[in-house]
Amino acid sequence: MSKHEANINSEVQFDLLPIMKKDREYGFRDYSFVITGFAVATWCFLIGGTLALFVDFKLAIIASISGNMISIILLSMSTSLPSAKYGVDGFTSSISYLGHNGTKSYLVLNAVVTVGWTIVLCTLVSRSVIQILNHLTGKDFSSNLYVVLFGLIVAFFCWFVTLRGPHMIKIMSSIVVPVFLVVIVVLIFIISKNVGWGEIAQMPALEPFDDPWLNFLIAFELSLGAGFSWWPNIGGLARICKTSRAAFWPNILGLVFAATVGTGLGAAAALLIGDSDPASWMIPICGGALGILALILVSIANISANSIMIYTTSLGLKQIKALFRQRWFIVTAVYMIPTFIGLFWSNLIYDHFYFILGLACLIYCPISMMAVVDFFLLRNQKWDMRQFYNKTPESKFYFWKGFNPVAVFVFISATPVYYFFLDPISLEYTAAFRYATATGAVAVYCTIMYYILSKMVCFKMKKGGYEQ
Amino acid sequence: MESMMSIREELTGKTEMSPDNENDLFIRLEEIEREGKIVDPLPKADWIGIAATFLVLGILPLLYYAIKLF
Repeated sequence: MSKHEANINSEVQFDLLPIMKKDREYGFRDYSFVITGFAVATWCFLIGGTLALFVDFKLAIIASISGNMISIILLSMSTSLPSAKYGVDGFTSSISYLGHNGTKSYLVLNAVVTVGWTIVLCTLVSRSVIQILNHLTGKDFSSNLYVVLFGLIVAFFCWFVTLRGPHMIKIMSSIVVPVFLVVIVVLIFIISKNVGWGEIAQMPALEPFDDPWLNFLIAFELSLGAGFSWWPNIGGLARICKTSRAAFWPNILGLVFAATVGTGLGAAAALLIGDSDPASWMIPICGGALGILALILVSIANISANSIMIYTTSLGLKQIKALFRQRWFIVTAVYMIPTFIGLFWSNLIYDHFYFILGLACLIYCPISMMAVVDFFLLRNQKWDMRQFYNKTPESKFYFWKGFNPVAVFVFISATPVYYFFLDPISLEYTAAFRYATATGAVAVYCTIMYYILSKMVCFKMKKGGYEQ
Repeated sequence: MESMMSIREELTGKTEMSPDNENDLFIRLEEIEREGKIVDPLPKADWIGIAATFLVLGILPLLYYAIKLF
């Protein structure tokens, strides 16, 4: 085994250890900066552009704050607070309610969502390159062939960066945050100077439904999805925070308020240009040279974000026994092969990118609600930490064959509940959707069902270590 | 010390970790069990703040627009 491979395996194991107080790096201010830099990224533009399809600028801001606030508070309760108290990440803590093998299945599901994001960001870079080429050559490179081709090249480059290891990713990320903030400031300045926010506020949504309440609800639902999409990341960050307060409140500042600034800017640009695709805004808004520079900077930001996602998700996949002994190249290939395949449908996925937000709601909302009920109501905020690390059937968190059937049932049955209100792929809604959002209904359903069934099954049969 | 012995007895060879990492894990688990936590949970005042924020910035805008647009 090479030194690099050994380091990766050691990092995977070391990553699972609880982080003690003396080893924690982030105070309130540090974490506020980190999470704000993380939150105000390209996905804000994508989400803002999508919100502009349904609602105007003002409602986009309100839906973004309201939806993100609800999801981020629930999310922070489910991962940040337990992670800060006990020093383990969200995936390790999910063993307490999913079981050891349940968590491994969940890691694979999480990878599916992340692959979706990787395809979207690769396509955004590909479309940015095409915009630059179109502008410089005067020819049209916008055909599907070029989108796929450039997307594949970008994906290979992101894979290359990931294979080079965390050092290269750290270098890229340290450049990206300030660079992206500069792009945001420049965009705000240009829009304020050339158009004015009063005029933006008067612009109608791009492709709304006839019913204004429905448009607001869909914008709210997509914002819930945007908030829940942070699930895989914030538990890992909270365990490095020195206090519970430092692990909780910066999430509100960064993932709700700062992200809403980026989302609002995305919505404003989309309304101004009449197109929800961020790649098509920069040159018309900023002008030739500045627009090209902005597209290049945004592309670098996307490549960096993608490399981080590929790296962290592949590290997570290494926890699966079949992959633990495999070379790092193979593990990352397991992630990248579906990405390459998906890129052949890059335009379709990119243009319907909101289905990833729906998928995020479908997966992370049930998980978050079960986590909150399990930790706060059923376990009284106390974990028997030994059970996380005992990987044999002797562990109380092994439940039945490594799965908690209550969690599996609640998780699977939440999908038809969601579909009863809204189809996340086609955005086709039922009459019930007007009375309760799909995610809201799923949240209530999961909370009640998980509590009742856990009491009826796990408590009664003394499984899961609840009796302590 | 007793707690450390009990942890070793219960977990040695069952963590799927290298001996070095396993030893490190036992030291950490012993400290967590002794203290009952690594950091204190949120104080009560923060929970009141969370409930207020949830209601005012999460639920109220939804209710307001429900009344206005429904």
